[in-house]
Amino acid sequence: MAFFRTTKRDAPVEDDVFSGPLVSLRGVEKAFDIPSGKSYVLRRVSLDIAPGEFVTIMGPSGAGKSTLLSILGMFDGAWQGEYYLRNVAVHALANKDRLSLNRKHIGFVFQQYHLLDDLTVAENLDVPLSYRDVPRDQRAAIVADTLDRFQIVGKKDLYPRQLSGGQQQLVGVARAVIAKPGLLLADEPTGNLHSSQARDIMELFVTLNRQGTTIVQVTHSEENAQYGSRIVTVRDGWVVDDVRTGDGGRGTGVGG
Amino acid sequence: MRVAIGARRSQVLAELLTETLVLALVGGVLGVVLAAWSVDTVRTLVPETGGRMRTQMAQYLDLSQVQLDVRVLAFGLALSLVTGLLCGLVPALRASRPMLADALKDGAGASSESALTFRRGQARALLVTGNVALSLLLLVGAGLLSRSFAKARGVDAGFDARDVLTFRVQPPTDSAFSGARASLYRQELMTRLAALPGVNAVGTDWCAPLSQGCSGTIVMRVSGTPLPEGGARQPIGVHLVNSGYLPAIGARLVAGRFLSEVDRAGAPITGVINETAARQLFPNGDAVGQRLGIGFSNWADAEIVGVISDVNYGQVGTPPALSFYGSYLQASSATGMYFLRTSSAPASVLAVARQTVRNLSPQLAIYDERTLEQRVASSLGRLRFGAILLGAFAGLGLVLSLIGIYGVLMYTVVQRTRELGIRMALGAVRREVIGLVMRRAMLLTAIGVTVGLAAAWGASRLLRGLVFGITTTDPLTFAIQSCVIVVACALASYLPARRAAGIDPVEALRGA
Repeated sequence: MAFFRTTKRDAPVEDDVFSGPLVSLRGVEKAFDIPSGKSYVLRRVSLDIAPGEFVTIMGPSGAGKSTLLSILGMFDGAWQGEYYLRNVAVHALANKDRLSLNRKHIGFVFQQYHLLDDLTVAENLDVPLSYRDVPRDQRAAIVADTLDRFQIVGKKDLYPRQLSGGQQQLVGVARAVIAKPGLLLADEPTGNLHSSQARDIMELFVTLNRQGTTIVQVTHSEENAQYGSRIVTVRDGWVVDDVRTGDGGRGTGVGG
Repeated sequence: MRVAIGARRSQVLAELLTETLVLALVGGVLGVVLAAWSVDTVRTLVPETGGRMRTQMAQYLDLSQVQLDVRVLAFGLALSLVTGLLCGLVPALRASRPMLADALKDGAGASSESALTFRRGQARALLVTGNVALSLLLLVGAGLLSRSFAKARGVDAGFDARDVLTFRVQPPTDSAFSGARASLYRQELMTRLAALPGVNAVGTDWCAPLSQGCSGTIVMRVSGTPLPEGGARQPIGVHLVNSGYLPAIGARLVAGRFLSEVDRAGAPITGVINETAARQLFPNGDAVGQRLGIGFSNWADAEIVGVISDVNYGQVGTPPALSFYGSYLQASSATGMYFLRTSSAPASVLAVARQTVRNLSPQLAIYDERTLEQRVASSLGRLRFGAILLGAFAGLGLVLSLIGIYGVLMYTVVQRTRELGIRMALGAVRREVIGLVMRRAMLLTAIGVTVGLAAAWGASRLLRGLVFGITTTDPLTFAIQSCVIVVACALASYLPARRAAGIDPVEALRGA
């Protein structure tokens, strides 16, 4: 891990204690209305993710992987079923409360990095904090600390277009974890990177996971999937397989 | 994309320009339709003016004759084409010469803000701020004239225009109505008019207050002082009226008495002056009882029997001139206008007044009949016309500003969909997204308002001749109109901001 410095402060900050799975889905379905009826994107998905897990969701294009991740990230509100995050019934929450829960516990890494082009690296890192009502002076300290941890202090004043893909994704990950979320969601985080950059990002994920961050990633890469502790396979909206890779055993959370 | 798949630059340019020109022509046609529709409205707004002023206006700008003709249509068409070309050429040239790599890269979502798009953003911002500034300039102008109009309407012109019917009587050219016989006819007419039910007083003068038609000042001197020579003579507006005139127009008596029946032919010559004349001519004491010499060469000494309020016969807002009211029975003068103060609505007396005139002689006829209030309103026509015309332009400018703000922000929101989606994915809530969009709108508005205020401050001097009762840099007008445009722009920017807050982050990021 050449570009990530571990500190005691890397662990996610959760202010309340809970028992049971971090994430629990029960019979989650998503469908679109079409003239001939309904087109299902997800079918009766039931899944439990324990705190500290590193889960990889795999499957062919159009299987529903990214949709599942969007539901976990609470970006998608149009679905049926039950979703519990830290025992909070997300499905019963109003959209505003879901966003509040998201801001408190979830970080998101995108395949396209999605950095804000007209902001510098440091400003990009500041954005999630600004939406979490962190006082300005504290934000500056947290940003400085994060720049240091990810060893990108020298790039803090650069704009995204002045960075390589790997560097942009590094900033993307730093931005996702800067508010110390308990759950990190990553949608094809290495999809736009070459193999060595991808390896670096995956090793960064492993480090974050070891420090206590629960990670759920979507990927097509078998190699990247091996960094996690569990692989959930989705096909045609159904969860068809759920395999633990760390201990080689099968999981128990297969739904449907 | 089109260039990448083989389109020549000229082809791209032609396509883009065709689109712009068609839009401009459609706009031009709509503009001509609107102009045709508004011509009648403009004609009705043209102020009625009399005498010398009407001649001047007719000479330079007779809007009552305004109409659409081939020249106007050709000008409108040419203007549309030139506008289309100007507005379309630069963007078309830019768009037809894209930096291919950037354009294709943008499409892939790797970068959404190239230097080119940034410059375009600046150009749009410049257009919006210019639009806001221009609107504020017009709004301030319209505000100044509106406030002037309101002030002018409320000003004390020294008389009471309520419940007064006015008209002129056309005497025949017949010799039977000339000289002394005409005077007898006038006296008889006023006696009959005064006897009509609902008529409280009947007056006659050559002209109406605020008509700007009372020409013919006569130089005079104060009796007992040496005969004036050259420039030492002072001009004074002389009104040869009957005893009922001053009560009929509601003039206020300040000292002494009004003219009365005793001030008849053969009696000592008497007169009433206004406050300004009393103050200027007799600064040391009571004007009543003093004597005044009126005339050019044959001085007639008149004893001043009363002082009345300053009745304004000129333009609203002009300082009061010196006035002298003498009895028309003591001078060989014709009078033209009759004033009937009524106890009911003046219009209800008109029919019987007309019949009374006809009964006196079928050869006499009433014309130019209006209430005194209508004449006052007509005298404010120039202010009213200016306020309405500039107000219409200001309203149009404001609408264009709002469309500009709305259009630019909506375009910006569409362009920033990806960015806003990212921000929402990172935790921005609806309020923060709305704030983000509206902050930009309000920044552009603030710049526009600053520029507009400066421009209005400089240009308002052009309205110096039209503004009444306030200064051309009236702070209240400037403040109110600034608030109007700020509130209007905030409302116009709320819709795009609301749309931005409704962006689905999943869709936004998927489309990026």
